Amino acid sequence: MTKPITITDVRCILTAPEGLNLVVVKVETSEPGLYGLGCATFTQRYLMVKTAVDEYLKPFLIGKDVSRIEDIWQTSMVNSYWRNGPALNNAISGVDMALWDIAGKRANMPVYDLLGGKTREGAAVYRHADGKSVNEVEDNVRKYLEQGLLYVRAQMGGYGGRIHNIKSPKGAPEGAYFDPHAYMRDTVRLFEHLRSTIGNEFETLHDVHERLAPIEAVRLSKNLEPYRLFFLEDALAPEQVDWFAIMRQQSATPIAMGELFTHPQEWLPLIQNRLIDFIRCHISTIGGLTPAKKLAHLCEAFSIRTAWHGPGDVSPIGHAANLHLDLSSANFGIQEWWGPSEQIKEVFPGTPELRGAYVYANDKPGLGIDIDEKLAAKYPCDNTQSIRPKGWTTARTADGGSWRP
Amino acid sequence: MSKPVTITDVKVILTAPEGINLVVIKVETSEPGLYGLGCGTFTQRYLTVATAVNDYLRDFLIGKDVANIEDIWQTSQVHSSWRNGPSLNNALSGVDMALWDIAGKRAGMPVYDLLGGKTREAAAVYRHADGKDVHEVEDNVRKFMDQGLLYIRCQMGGYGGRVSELSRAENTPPGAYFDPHQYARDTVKVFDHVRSAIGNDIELLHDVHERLAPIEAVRLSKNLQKYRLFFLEDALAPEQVEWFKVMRQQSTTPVAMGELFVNPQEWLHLVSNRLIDFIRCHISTIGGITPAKKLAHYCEGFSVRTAWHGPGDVSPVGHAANLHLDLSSANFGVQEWYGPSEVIHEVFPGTPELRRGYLYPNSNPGLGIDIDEKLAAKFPCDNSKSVPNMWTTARTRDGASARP
Repeated sequence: MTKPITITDVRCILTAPEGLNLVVVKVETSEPGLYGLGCATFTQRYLMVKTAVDEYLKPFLIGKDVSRIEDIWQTSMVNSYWRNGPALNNAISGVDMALWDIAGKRANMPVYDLLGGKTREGAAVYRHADGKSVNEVEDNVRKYLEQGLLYVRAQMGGYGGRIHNIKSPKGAPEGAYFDPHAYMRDTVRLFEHLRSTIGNEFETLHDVHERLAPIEAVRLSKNLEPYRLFFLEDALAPEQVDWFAIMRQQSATPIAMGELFTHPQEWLPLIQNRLIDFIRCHISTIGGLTPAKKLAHLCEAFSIRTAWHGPGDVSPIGHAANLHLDLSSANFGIQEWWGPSEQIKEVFPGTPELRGAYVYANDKPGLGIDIDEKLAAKYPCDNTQSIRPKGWTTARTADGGSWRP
Repeated sequence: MSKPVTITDVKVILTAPEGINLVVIKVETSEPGLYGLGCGTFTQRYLTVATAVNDYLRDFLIGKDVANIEDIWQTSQVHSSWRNGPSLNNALSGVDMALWDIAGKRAGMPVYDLLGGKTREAAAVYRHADGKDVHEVEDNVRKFMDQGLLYIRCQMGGYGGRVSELSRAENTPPGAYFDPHQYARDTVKVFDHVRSAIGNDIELLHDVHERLAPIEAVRLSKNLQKYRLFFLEDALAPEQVEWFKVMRQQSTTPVAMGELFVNPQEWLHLVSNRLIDFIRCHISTIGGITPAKKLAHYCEGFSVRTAWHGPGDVSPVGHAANLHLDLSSANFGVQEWYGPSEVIHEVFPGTPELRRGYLYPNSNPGLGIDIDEKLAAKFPCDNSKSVPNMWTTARTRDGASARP
């Protein structure tokens, strides 16, 4: 028996090349030059993830055999006894992805080959088109179509449509004010406009981002039926997922859900009761590749497809992990994609590339992505942006009442 | 309109008077001398709670009106976008309890009076009796009975029944090894012995602490029926709560669940489908008094009673919060109690007192509990104990990880 390769260090790398605070975990090993990288980005609370890694996971993991990915995932989850929350899951994800990266490097195979091999050559993506008016959104959708995109998400005025004149009572507190009713009317108008001007020969999507009361979300889903959405995203808050049973009784608009999920009890009933069509978790927030691959398999049994969360607050390492899942999953649906800047590609050599409608992986061993730590250090994280009182997470309606965004 | 009282600082106090790492949050206000205390104890990851408070909640809250407890709870929870996890909820709880403490002090009333007033004079508690064999467990049950306790939880050999002579596979890693089958057999033996030796005039409880496969938990619940447990605790892992349906079809042993809950999706169905009888969340881990009071009200609608988690890894501030909920809840069931040491009473003046089976509050305004910060500082927390192969690294014979 050869001597096992063991974990010698676990480090957090904090960097913000695009102004978004990212957390990358680097797992170093007893084999010279062999290390792995994982995404642990919980941008709103990134310092908590760092504490979880530095103070807890690192001492727990040093000396452990890098091949024991499943055992490390299981024991890391329960080592804190309380579990299934976003800060701890992200920390575990950083380690989990890094261990898969290491396993791929040791096998001299891309991670998708450890997960069953390619089921497709590239992953079709959707991009995000916004605008202040229906015409501006139309222009932005057309731009993406000209670039070869097949799927475009259309929004107007940001999530919840923050373009209305809102009258609040005197003394109403600071916040990101929006009007759910105006937002809903606008959204129907927007898709009516897009389908009548651009036509039906492209797939379009929309993200409610939890800005509606449950029955209003059902109504929107129903009212959007004539415009044939590819899917409607996050129509309900994660605390209200049982309402999908009512949406299902009334509307054939496909449903995508899961960005905010952190706990299996959020997705299990939705899947086993066939209440959603696409699962779109933020894979670092459910704990990494290990649970995401299991979740994809669970969904496959019910013909539910994957659409992993892929905005700018997933690090390129996390995007690479998404792509390895996409390529190896029989039930891949679509991949959200954010359009990385030049500087992020320099910080993360090997960032997957979008060409035409598809994101392509390189065929390097492991996740096929690296980090230039010196360059990363030139973009330090800034925690003050996490607090902003008017930030989008402090959503409020006209009278000042707090809303779950 | 008078000028609002605002939050001027939010401090984390870390202390371990009994060797267990505790997190207490102190909210200071614009009114001289007026402050509140809350429990934010997630002992296994207490430094993540400290980071959440020091680096996020503090800046978010300074300047806010202390009266707006509900709005502060709602906006703090969604401020991180991702939510419902144990680290963030504990941080939020520390602030939430402190704001209720402040509200009580401003009103000159104990918190239970802000929550609807006393529905009973004191809260009946249960204590924890363990032992290496059935006789030692019996002796320890009798000791508690002599002290006037009416409810006693019986365990043998710790959670899952630790065993020394076990046919472990070769080269198995370190961990807290147990044998689920031996544990299930032993547990029936304990209750058979205690009921035949002591009789039926005492309420007995048991905590599975998630150490059984789901159908084994159902079988244990069924096999324990004849010993008339007051309830069976945490028979399933929180990821497996749907199995309670199967248990319900087969056994009338009352079911208590919730110590590990962090997310409403864990409890909503169990309560509305009447699959449990007692809700026993760790109230700081669901976010404090605000969500716990709502959860108690929700449970009352289904005649599900409360049995809030109350071990040594709840700070005395958290125990006080439990007690204020107990006293003011129509559907109070029982309160777990841990028996604080003298030193804890010194660090936390006003810690509730147990007398002949009942826990009594004082009638001071607010939560009625304080912290001696100088004394607390003499018992620093020690993070090194959070990490090694402690009881949470549960493993079975072949070395596989089990959920503890």
